[in-house]
Amino acid sequence: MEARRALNRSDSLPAPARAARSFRKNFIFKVKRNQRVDFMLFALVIGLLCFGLIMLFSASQNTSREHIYSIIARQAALAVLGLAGMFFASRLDYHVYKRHYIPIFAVAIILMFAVPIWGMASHGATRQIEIGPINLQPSELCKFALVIYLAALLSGKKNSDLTQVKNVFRYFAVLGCIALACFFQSHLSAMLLILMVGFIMLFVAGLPKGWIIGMGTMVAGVGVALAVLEPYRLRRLLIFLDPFSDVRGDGWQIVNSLYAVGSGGLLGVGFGQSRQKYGYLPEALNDYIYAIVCEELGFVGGIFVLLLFAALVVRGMQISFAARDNFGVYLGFGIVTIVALQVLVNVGVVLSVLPSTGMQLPFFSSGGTSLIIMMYGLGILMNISRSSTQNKI
Amino acid sequence: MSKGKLSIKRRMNVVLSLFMAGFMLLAGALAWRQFIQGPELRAGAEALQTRDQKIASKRGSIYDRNMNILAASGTAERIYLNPKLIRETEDEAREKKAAAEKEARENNTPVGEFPNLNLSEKVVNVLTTNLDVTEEWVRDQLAKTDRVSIEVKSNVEKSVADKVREADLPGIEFVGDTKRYYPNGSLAAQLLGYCGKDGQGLEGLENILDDELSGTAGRVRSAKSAANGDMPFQYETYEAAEDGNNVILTVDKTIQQIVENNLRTAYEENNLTNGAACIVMNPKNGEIYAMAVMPTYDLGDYNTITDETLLAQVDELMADNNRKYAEAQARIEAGEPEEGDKDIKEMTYNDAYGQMVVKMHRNKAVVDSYEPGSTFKTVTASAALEEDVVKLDDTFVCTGSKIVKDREIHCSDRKGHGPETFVEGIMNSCNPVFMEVGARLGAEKFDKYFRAFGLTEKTGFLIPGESKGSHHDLEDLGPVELATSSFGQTFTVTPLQMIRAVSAVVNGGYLMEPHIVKAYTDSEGNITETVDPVTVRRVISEETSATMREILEKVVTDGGGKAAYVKGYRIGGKTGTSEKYPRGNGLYVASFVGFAPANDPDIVCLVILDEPHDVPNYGGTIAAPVAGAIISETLQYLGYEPQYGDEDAESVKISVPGITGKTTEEAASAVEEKGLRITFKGDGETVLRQIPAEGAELSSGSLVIAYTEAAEGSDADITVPSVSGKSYSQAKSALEKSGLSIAIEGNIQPEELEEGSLAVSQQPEAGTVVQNGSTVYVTFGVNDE
Repeated sequence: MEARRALNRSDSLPAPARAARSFRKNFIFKVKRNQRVDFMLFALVIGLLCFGLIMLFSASQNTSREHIYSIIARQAALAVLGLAGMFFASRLDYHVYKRHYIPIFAVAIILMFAVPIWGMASHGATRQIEIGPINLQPSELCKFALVIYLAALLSGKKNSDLTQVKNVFRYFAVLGCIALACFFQSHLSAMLLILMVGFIMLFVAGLPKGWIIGMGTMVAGVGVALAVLEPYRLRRLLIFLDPFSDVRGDGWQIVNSLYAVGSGGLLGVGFGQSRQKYGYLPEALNDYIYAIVCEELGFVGGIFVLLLFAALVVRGMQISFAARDNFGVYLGFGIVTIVALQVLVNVGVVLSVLPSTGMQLPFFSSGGTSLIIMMYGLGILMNISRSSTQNKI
Repeated sequence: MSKGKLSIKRRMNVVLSLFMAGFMLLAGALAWRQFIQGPELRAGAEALQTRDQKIASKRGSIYDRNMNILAASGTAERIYLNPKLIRETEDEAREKKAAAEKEARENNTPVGEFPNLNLSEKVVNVLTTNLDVTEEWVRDQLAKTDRVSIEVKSNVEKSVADKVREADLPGIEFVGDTKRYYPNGSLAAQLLGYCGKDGQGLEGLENILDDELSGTAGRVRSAKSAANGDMPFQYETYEAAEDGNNVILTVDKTIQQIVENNLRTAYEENNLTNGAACIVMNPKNGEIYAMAVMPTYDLGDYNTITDETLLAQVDELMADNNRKYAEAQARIEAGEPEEGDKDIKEMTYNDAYGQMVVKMHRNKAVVDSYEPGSTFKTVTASAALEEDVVKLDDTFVCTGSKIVKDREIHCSDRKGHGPETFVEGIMNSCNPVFMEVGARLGAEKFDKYFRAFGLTEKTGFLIPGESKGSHHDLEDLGPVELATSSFGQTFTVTPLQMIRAVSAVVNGGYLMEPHIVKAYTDSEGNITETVDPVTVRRVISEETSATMREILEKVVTDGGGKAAYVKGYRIGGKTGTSEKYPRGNGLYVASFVGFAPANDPDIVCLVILDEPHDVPNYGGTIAAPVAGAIISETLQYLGYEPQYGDEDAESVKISVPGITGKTTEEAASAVEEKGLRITFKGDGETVLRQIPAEGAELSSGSLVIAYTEAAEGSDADITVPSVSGKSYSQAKSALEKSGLSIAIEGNIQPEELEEGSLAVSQQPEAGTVVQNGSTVYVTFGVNDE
């Protein structure tokens, strides 16, 4: 208390120290109900992270013996960065995002357009920025930026009334803008995810039914048009209905995913014993890692993963709802929605109940900065849990 | 605020519920994939993840009864192509070359050689040179770069495979295989059958004994990665191959050769258009000694027709079909199609060829049924004697035909045989006699014996597709059918059924199961199972059987089967001729069934000549001699010495042919044809004189001396030397030295003389002056002192 009082006497301090004090005051210690992070959320995240790392380690044991740690080491490094980010986010009052939502969103949008333009100009990748060993997918960032943006606006007074057509158009314009960027990146799955997150948040914010139905129809129409305009998408879209009709061609990935899942049975072939990872299942470390989980650990393992995620989603929803203000509610809800949609789509693709898209499974899939971003997002959720009204959870 | 939040909560709960529904759906899908579809998916995954390599088992051999090899397997190889590896190797070489060139530019080092750059070309070259594959085919296969194993050729002999191996090219792989060899070419082709390229028996015994012969292929199942590499861990299973068992047949290779030689000659001489078949069987135990079919084929090249008759039939078949096709098309175009016109398809040469290949592979002796004709009278006669409805000396009168109900049925001899006994009726093969005998038996008893002799059932012979002929059922057996059936017409049987029935007639009345396998051995040659003779049932009594043997011997000695008579052997038999349907088309089946020795038969032989041309169509004239030759040669081979009974005595004496004035060649063939030996004295080319003179009677194998040079005093008379006290050989050489021949008094063969026999008297006596070449008859006896 002595120290704090001393700090408050700002006038007597030199300029740098004043700035530091102001930062701490504004960003870190401005927690009104300074509770602990929700333990259940924390435990689920750490549990999933560990499980994900272990399964990635197993799935990456498919090439020569010399490199058994190369993939897991990289992922572990990302996880450490992610944990640091998560810790930071859980300590940083989430209202900071509301205050700075415009620059955050602006950066995301600029990156979204810059990457495909730069990529096309240089005949390079059109989806990601590669900075040394790290490659950043702007779409990953954009998901969270959009959630922040929507949460900020929907919780505000000016634009939150969705019964006004003007406001709705404003949101749709933003969503359309991001969709366009995704289109330039040929990144259909990101586009769908971002649009779904956006619509779900608008729905929760009270978007009138007419809009929902109308926009839903329109999005479906755009999807169909895309599939027709780009027939390879249509083929990819339909092959999941009967992957065995073209085992060696378009169905190869799905068939091998199903082979892996089907080989698992109740208890699986045993940890580390997957056979499909030996070059049969494409993207076994990435989009299809859940198939390896099912193969090695069987139904028990597969259900366990689904249960962990479902618990995370339920807990996340409870925390969001208990947030002390609407911004917290929307922000938490948006983050949980991203997690839920990614899990549902990814697992749906692996089990071939959905057409194949490139959706990662949080905590499990290897690669990129998505893990760091995802963990940072969950860190925000933890921060919300610190200030939420516990008795309402 | 709180109202707004409630609304948000409601909507959030909707979203949460949807998410939870999604999770439930996925849990359900997971269960579905893992439990309901699990086994199927697991099997698919295993097939994908494992590499199955077959280890060929060695197919067992087929031996004849004397352990001569009829079919055996040798080591061969199977060659595979790995297009993926070839492509990758080439790519790798290209990359290395590029790297080396880059380095060469920078450091001035030599680029070096990259032999794998044009690997595909080398592969094409090696495969097309050594294996019978086209360049186009190999290139097509090489284009399938996602494949790792394409079979190029199976059954490649090791020497050929080694040549391919020498090239040492990556992407050509070898796996052990076995190749089937038939050392005797076409011998017993239809009986043995052949194996396909994968080593499975496709026809004949190879097919029906496949389980026994093939053994169990072993296999190695090992895990492989998608790139076809090995896995870091192994879950390899190894099942050793079990070699097949060997089969020892009852067939005797030599008898089979005897049969085929004679049958081939008959097939060619009689211009048979529907082939020929012959079975030789042991009537006592049902063992098949030989089974031959003509025309035949080379087992090593079983899809090629070499027989000219068959090749001509290929053309005929195609022409005939396509003529019908053209007619049908014409009718369809004219708008007045007949029924079935649409079903007539055009036939290519290959179609027709294929059909004839199938015909060529048929084992006619077991699969094709025919009308047995008069050979069947053996069965009717046995039944009648057994049932005592006829006595041997019952007399019948043949007028050339017999009226049965409203029908006049002719005898083979339309002039009629006149009055004759039952035995004479058989010897004459008189149809009216048998119509009468059949009527005396009655339909019921006829049917009973017909069935008892096994003519309505399959013999159980080991052959794919044995047939059993067709016959009148008892209820359809009216007087007319009974009459015609009694002499072997209006029903069909297979040759195997027929020879089995005749075996029962002559072996004492036992219907045997014909069998072809004598024993099975394991792969090391230890006998694991022997096949015992199976008596199906007793059909007639020993007494009836003995009577039948006597009668049937008479058929050969004095009746319609004379042509089968071979001096020195007691052969019984019966001829048969039946006109094929539709009657009046001039196509016949001539057959003869014979057995020997007649008093106690050890072999039965059935010869069937189908559709002879350009010769008289009677079994007695064309089939009987073939059977006679086969039987006598077989008996000789089996070690039966010719026996000459009293009746034979006269005919055993061979009348010396006249050879003076003939060339040495003509003389030699004339003499040897009679069964005598010839020796030439002098260096001339024309025979001037002969000893003994023309018309002299000698025993078989005696020497005829032909003089080709005029010797001084050659025409002079000769004083007979004394041979008293000399042995046969001494006497013979003494007389032959003087230009005389020797004969033993009392129609005795030299080998029949008792040991130590010496000449006791001679006729003409010593000192008598006789003509050159005369025969001296010498009496031999054993000196008791």
